[in-house]
Amino acid sequence: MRSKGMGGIGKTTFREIKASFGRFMAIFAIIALGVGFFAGLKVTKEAMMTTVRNYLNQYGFQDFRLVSTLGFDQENVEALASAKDVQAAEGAVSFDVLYSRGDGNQGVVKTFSVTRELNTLKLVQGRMPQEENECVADSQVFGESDIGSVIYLSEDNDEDTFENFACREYTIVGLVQSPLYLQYERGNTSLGTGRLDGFICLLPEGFHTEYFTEVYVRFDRDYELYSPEYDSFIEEKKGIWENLTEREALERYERIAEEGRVQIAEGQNRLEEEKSQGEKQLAEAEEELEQAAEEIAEGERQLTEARAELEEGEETLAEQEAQIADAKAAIAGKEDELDAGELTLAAKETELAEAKRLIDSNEVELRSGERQLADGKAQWRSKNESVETMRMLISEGQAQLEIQSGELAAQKAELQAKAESGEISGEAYDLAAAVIERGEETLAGYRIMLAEREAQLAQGEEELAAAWQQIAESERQLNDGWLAIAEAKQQLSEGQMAMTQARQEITEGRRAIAEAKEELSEGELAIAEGKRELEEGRNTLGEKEAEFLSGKEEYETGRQEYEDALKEFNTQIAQAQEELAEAREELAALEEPQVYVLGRDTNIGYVCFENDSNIIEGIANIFPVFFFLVAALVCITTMNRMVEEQRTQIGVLKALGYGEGTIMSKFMIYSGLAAVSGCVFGFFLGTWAFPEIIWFCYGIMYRADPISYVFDGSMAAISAAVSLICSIGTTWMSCRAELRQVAAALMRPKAPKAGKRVFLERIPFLWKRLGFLRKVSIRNIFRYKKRLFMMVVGISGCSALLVTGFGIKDSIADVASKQFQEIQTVDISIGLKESADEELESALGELGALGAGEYTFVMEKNMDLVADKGVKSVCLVAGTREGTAPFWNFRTSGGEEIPYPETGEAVISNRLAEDYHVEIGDMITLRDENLSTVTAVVSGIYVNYIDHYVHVSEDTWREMTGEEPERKTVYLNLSEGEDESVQRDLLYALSAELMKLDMVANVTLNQDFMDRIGNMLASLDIIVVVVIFCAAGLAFIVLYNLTNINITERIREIATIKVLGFYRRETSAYVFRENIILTVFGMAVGMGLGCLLHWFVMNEIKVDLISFDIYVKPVSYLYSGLLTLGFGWCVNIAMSGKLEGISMTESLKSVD
Amino acid sequence: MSAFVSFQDVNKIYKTGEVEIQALQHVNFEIEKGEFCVIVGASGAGKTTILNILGGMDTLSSGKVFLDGEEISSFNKKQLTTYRRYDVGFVFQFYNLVQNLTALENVELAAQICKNPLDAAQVLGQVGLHARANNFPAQLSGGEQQRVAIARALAKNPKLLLCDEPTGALDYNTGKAVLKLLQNTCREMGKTVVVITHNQALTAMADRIITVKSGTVADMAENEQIVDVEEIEW
Repeated sequence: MRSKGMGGIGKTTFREIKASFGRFMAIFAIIALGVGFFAGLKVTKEAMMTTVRNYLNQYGFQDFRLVSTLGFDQENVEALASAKDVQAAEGAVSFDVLYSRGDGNQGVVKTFSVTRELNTLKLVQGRMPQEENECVADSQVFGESDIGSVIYLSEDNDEDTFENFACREYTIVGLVQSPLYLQYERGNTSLGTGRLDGFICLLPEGFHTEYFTEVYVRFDRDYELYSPEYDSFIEEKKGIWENLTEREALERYERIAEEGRVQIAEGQNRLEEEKSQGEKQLAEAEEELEQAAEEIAEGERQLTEARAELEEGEETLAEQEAQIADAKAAIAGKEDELDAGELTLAAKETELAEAKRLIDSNEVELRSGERQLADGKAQWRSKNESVETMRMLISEGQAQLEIQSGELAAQKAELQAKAESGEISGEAYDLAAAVIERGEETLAGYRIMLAEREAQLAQGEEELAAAWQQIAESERQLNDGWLAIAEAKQQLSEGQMAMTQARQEITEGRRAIAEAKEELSEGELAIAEGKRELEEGRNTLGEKEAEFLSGKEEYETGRQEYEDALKEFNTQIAQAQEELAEAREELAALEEPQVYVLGRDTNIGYVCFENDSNIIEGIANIFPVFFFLVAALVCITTMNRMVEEQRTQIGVLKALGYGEGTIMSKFMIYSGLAAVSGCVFGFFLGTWAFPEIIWFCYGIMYRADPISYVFDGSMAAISAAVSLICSIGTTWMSCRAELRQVAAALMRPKAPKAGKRVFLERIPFLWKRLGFLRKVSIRNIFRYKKRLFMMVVGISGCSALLVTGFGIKDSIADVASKQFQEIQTVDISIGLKESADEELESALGELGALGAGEYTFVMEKNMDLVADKGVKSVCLVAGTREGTAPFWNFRTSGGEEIPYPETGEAVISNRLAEDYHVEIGDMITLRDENLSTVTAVVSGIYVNYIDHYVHVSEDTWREMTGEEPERKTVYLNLSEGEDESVQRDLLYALSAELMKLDMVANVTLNQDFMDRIGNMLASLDIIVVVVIFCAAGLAFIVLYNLTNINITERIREIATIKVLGFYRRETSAYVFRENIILTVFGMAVGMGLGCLLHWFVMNEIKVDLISFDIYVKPVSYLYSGLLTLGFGWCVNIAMSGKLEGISMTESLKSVD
Repeated sequence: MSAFVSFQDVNKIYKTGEVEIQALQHVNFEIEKGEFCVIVGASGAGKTTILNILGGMDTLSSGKVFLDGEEISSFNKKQLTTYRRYDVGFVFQFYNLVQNLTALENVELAAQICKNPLDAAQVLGQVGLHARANNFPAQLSGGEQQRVAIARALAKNPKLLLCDEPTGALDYNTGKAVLKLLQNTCREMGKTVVVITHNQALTAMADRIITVKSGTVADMAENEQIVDVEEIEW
């Protein structure tokens, strides 16, 4: 029966969750938020502690650091390591050294030897050093890009410092973290500007020392960090170890002294020995040298002789050469003659040849003439013949003619005769007469012809005669030609003969010359030979001379060496004697060592971490309470409402006979389930996320390992318990109230809560002015006081968180700009190597063109403020009233100006005054590293945000210490009147110029510092975002939940006004006006609360070097307010949908 | 001229998941202006649905509803709101007064959103609650609360007064007093009043009686013999 009932209950429970998931989630979320905040913040300190503890354990952080003025040796270390409770003791070497990185800026680093067991390094990047000239560097100061770059030991270091190092430059091969530097602060030094930039670690071989400067000791106890157990253990050990260390140091002292004595004795002995040996060696050397000198003289003589011989030879040779030259000239003359002769000869030959050719041609002509003549003759003869023939012919012809004429005449006569005779008839006569006549005619023709022929003949005879005459003439001419030729030929042959003779002569001349030349070349050969011999002789002489010279040089060097050796011997002896004397003196002066046993409380990082981790605890104590309060309120109202909604069901169940426990269990399970799941979710999310985020922010200042996840059982138990109380507890209370009633009463609808007049109504003046609906809202607001309270708490919490979040940012973010723009208005601060002088002043004056304006020289010195509460490192600034005025503004927190301190007075920064309870008129004491002190009366306390300063005048310093202040710092401002971007460029240009000056060690731009801090603080945004998210979560949960309750509870009322005809907007306004009023009210409360919370949180967050300006900008209030209203508005928007969905008919149905 | 109120073949189907419930089927009736109408029927017969539709609180599935010539069934959500705002006054069984407002303020609540409301205090006086004007609902008896509710409905000066079981939560005498008030309102102010009841006895006082059965109008009759409220007994 019962189990069945439980089953039913279980079913309704899960259906209920499904049906009202929003409500379930509201409980879940607020519990998750509360638990997350609580557990997350609470566990953060522990997580940080655990992380740092593991980190320190892993890297063997020291318990004690032992320092002795004499250092320690391996024997000491071994002895210390074997002391009681010691886990490990390890010697290390450490020196502060000035360094530069090639860009002119100088700084100071602490160098450490790489240790193997204690204070070991965490390699962040790169590798560990393997060579003596390699190092690993501080990962805070050096970046990834510096790996591979070189660190130079500055020339400005002391000789003693150099002696401690094996090299002058070290290459960075890796970046490391050291447990010695948990925090960002790197400490002070007596070198340079007095501030250490960082550290670098070398191999032990990188140092050139024979002893350890310090010994790290770690005990085999694993106490909690900062626990009283640890403190008391260390307190106890400290006494013991002071004695122990002193004893060890004394032993070392004895050893050194003994060693010194032995060494001195040995040294003395060796000195004597070496002196005598050296003297002997010197004597021998001198003897050798003298011998060598003699040899040299001999050599010189021989050389002179040889030189003379050589000169003689040279002369002879020169003569011979001259002769040959003459002969050569003669030959050349002759050759010239011959050549000329030949030339003439050749001309003559040509002439002859020409003549011959002429003769020949003449001869040919003559012959052809002869031939012609012969031909002519032959012609003439033939002609003559033909003439003769012709004559003959003519005569014959004539004869014939005569005959014929005679015959004819005879015939004629016969005929006549006959004719007369008449023998012959007349005709025949006539015929015969005709024939005779013709014959006569022909004969007459013949006669003419003959006459012609005879004329021709005569002409031919005439011609012949002329031809003959011509021929004769030609013959005569030919004969003359022949005669001439014969004569020419004779001449030619004579000429040829003469030529032959001349040629012979020339040939002979040539031969003679050739012979002469042969003789000459022989002579030349002889000379060349002579010359070579001479050259050889000269070379030999040169060699000999060189030999002689080198011999001489050797001798000289030998002599020099001897002399040097002698000198050195003397100085060495003197030095050795001096050294011995010094050593004796030193030994005599060797003081008993001073030892220091330094606990962890002297490590800045270790000490600061305790303070800084307490910040979180402070916050953790206040925020969660707040969230749990809200969580409880949310749970109460939600469950109250739920129980009320279900009162009929409760009544029915009760009437059916279910037990109170069973009925209650439904609600218990419901809220319990929401709470437990919310708790688990919130717990793990919170304990993971908060430490992560906060550790991330701490990363600005601290370097260790990533945060480790810490599960804190008791925290989980507390979270679970509180969330169960918040959920189940409140549920139980709500249920109890209802269950007390009888079933019948429960089944009746609960009478709506009666309306009530509020106090405001008693002020009719105000009340009457209010709009009608506003009156309703105001009455409603006061109707449910619980809800009012919860709403105000939730919303004010939301705005308070926002104000705090923004305020933290405001307070921290402006610190740098306030410090450097309002208080320390120095643009550039310059560290000098030496105290400032006129030279620098003129150099700065020249830089005026580059924008350098006012400047002043001051002494900045790190000193310890000795106060009742402890010793505090501060920066002492000693300057003059006029000089300091443009660079420091001393103002009280009220803004009043503080006058510059008179002699014997000091103005100090406010944080110092607060932390060490110093008031105006108090005496303060400052102590430097040499333990000399300065005391002054505090004349003013000024507002300062970064670092701790004590300002005194130079006169005060002089008066107190009797020393002239070392003005090694220059404050420099840019000349006014440039706009910002130009100023920035100017600033860098100027700093580059300054860096070039010899006396400048470093240049610090406050702009850089501001930029750097600006970047660092960017991570604060994360905190602000986290806060905004938490605030939003809070606002949403509270508003949503309350509005939800409000709506469901007043559903009939809302339905009624809808029925009455209220428009959507009017309905929303009717319901949400309360929300808005309460949101605004809560917001107003939250502003005040936020201001307080912010003040509280900022007081918890105390960082040593920076004092925050606890203030919230007005705009942050505005943002917080707007965000809060925005969250409220979002919820209203989300809920107005629900409002719209309310069905009038359903809601107004009669209650069954 | 058509009737003041007219339902023409109205159907209403409720859908819950896959189950369909036919709340009204082919409902047809008319009410004349100035009538005192009683809609009577058993529980679940659909009378409240009719009232809801008539009052602009619910929509119908098909058919048409007219009031004073306007088709309510075609109104959108906003028009319905406006309609409720200016034309209809409601009186509920459980009064539905705003607990946080005094009697007078409850009346004002309705009056202030109307175009020409009646004076709240005067109306409250009319219902006889002048003396209790500044009391909160919790300080009033049921009858008084119902009278406040009526005053609230009247103050709006609506065209139509709708009453859903106005006497359901009241005792006999108080109920009678309330009914009397309603009747007077109808008679004296000339308002059209629609009263929903399961009480058959109340039909006697009505000008018009509409009987609803299983989602349909079983009978619609004009009452010939109107009886005064005092004479009705149940």
